[in-house]
Amino acid sequence: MRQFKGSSVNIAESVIGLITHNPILFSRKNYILVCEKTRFFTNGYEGVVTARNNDIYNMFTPTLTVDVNSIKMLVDGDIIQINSDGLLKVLWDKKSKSNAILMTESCNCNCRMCPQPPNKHNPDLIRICKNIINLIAPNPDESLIITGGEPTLLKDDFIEVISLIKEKHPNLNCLLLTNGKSYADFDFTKRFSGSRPQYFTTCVSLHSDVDEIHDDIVGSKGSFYKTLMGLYNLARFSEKIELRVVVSKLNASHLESIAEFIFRNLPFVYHCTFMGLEMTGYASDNRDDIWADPFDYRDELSKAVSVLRRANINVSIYNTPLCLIDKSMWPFAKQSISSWKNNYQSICDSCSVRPDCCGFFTTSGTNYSKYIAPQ
Amino acid sequence: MHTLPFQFSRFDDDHLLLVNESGEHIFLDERSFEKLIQNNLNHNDEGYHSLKSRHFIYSDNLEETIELISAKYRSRKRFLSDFTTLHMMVLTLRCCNDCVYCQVSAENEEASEFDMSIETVEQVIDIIFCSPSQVVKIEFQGGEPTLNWNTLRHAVIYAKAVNKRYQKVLDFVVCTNLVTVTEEQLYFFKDHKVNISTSLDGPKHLHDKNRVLKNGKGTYDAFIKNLCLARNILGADQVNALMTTTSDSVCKLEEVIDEYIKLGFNGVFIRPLNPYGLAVKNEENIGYSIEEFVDNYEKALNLIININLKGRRFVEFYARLLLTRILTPFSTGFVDLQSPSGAGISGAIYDHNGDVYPADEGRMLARMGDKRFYMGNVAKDSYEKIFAGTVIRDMAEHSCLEIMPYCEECVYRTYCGSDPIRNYAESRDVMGKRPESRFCLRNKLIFDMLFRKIKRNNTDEMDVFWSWISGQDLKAIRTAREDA
Repeated sequence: MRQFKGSSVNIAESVIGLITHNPILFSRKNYILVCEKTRFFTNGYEGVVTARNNDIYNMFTPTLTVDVNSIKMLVDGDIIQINSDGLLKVLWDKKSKSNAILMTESCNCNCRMCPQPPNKHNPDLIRICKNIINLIAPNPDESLIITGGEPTLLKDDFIEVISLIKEKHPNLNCLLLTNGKSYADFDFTKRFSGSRPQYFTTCVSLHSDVDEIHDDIVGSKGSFYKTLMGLYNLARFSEKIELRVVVSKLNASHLESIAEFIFRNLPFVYHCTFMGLEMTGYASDNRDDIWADPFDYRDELSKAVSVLRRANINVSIYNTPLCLIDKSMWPFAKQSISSWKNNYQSICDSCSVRPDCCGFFTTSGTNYSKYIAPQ
Repeated sequence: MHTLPFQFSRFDDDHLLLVNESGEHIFLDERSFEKLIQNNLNHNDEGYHSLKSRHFIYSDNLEETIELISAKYRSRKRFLSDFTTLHMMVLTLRCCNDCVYCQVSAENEEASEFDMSIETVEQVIDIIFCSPSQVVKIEFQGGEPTLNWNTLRHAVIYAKAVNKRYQKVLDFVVCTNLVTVTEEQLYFFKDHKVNISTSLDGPKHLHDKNRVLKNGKGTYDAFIKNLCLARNILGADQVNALMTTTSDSVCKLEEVIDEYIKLGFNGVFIRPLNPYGLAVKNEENIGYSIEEFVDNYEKALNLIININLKGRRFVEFYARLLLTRILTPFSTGFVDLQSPSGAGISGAIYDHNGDVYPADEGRMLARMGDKRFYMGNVAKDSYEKIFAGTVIRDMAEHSCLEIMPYCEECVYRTYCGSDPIRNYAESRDVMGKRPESRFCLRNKLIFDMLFRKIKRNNTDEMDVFWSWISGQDLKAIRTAREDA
């Protein structure tokens, strides 16, 4: 997510609120005022973000002073969090069509290519998630991504959060990113299915068609079959399922076999995606073990996509620039990288298909294919 | 590493073919096969990955592996859970035609004692609606069913009225030679959404050799005239045709295909002769060897593949059926090739006098004096008595390939099926004698041929097959590639 740094005054606990630029609101609860200069009394706002603080008007309200350019990037409808250490986080980006809520950083896998390595669970994240859900007023074309860590690990809290979404935004399109293992528990799946809002896609990671390779990739023995049993339970409740195969050195040689396995064993899935690596976190630490250049596995990727295409299962390629895949695969490649961490290389300026290309993760730094070439 | 159950057979000089309960197949070279059966395949060995992915071997998680296998096994046997969906009724044995391969032994046009009465047809329909299946397909057969028009008409109207109570998905098909069908009858079919299934053996010179009137004259011209009329009234997609291969057409299948395409059909089922009725009597004149049939079938299939690649969608239905079984995890509803047998479980036939049989062949045996497959009569017996009686149970027990000698170890058995009545007709044994069964030999040769294609894995060919299997336009499958 986007973050800025500033200097804080009066912030004890972190403050979350919806942004407004209107300094004379009647009802100020839940709002954080954003202004270049404080010119009115700010009593009642949850907080203030300003470039120039005038403390005659603003004596007690939690306030963050940041530079004027940061101010300009915040719009009404954004949800931000301001912290005592001066950090401003954009929790909900009104301009983006899809925003994520982070439920936990803890996980029951330890994937070798994880871009967001797991951490101990911080219960405050649940409070923040609920806060966001209570504050947002999403348009029908926006979607909410529920992510972690492994959100389903929280069991009751997880069910509570999705129930809250169902209550507040019954028609909001939601995607859950999960390793699916929790769904091996039939009763949990049943609870989940009864609690979720109606437009809900469960996106399950599956990285191989054999247990030893999948378990090796996710760093946890027994994961493969747990995930499969979870997928079967989800299917029993007719849940809408997307499969996500992250392509690395560890599975790039058998993508076609994975695709065949999916069609044979999981033909009920709604969508299947093959995803390029985000080279940060563990992925960057383990670069030598996991990095596979999409250009080198492009033929295998084409075969895998063909298997699913022939079988009439929706299939997409995520996070993989067009110049690295076979031209015949372009219709399947999607612009899949969140806007706040998406960029292009300077060599891309002359490329004719740049507007259709997913580009790169800024988070991957210089870890990208050596075959990038304008088309 | 531990092995799971599978069947295998030498496929060619280099490879063995292995197939397992879940319907997965794999070609394995001899060295890997040796290692596999010695239980000492290493996970770095070639073949290990595919064998594991397709459930030929497992390491620790037997329970979960069986869960995956059984899910696929259940899917493949899904046809059983619906019970009887296809209900055929012989409205009359009268027919205006005198076809050389007639299975039915049709009576002449005046023999009205072979008509089903209004009373009987109502009893038949009452029994049909006792079936637990949510989908009911009523097929009017004969003879020529349109010759008993009053009963046919009444059957449609009565069945629709009864269905108001049951709310099932109800379809009608009439199997007619179209020779004497009238405009009024066609409008009735249109109004009541009755599909037409007719017979066409090829161009005039082939069709008229087989499908003749009692006076020996060909029926082609009358057929074509009424086919056009039927299509105009009902819509082109409401009329399907079946062909039967005889010695005259077996080496001229390309002419048959041309004819079907010329007439705008969307596919053909290249059907061999069945060993019943006149087909047996006339075998010397119209028969051919199995090898000759399969050779020509392969040539015809290749031709059809090319026609598809040139842009005309045209399906060979038998290949589509077998390929769906080989290449997908799904169940297929083809009554004549199931395990256990589809006759009785998936389909049943009601004779003109209300007698019930699992299939037409059982009815014909009865006509020749052997009531082995008689299940009951709609006027005398309850649904339970007819469909839960010993005939169906006995047939099911003796038609599971999984436990039939010879079939049980056949590499193709997961994809194949049995035809107990045919076995009985040929050998007086419902289990049959596979080593001399033409049914078995033909299917094995066709499987061999299809698996050679699968092993070759030619992109064009497989694209066409998949367009048939998944019901997609070939272009949709290939567009992406052709843009490149």
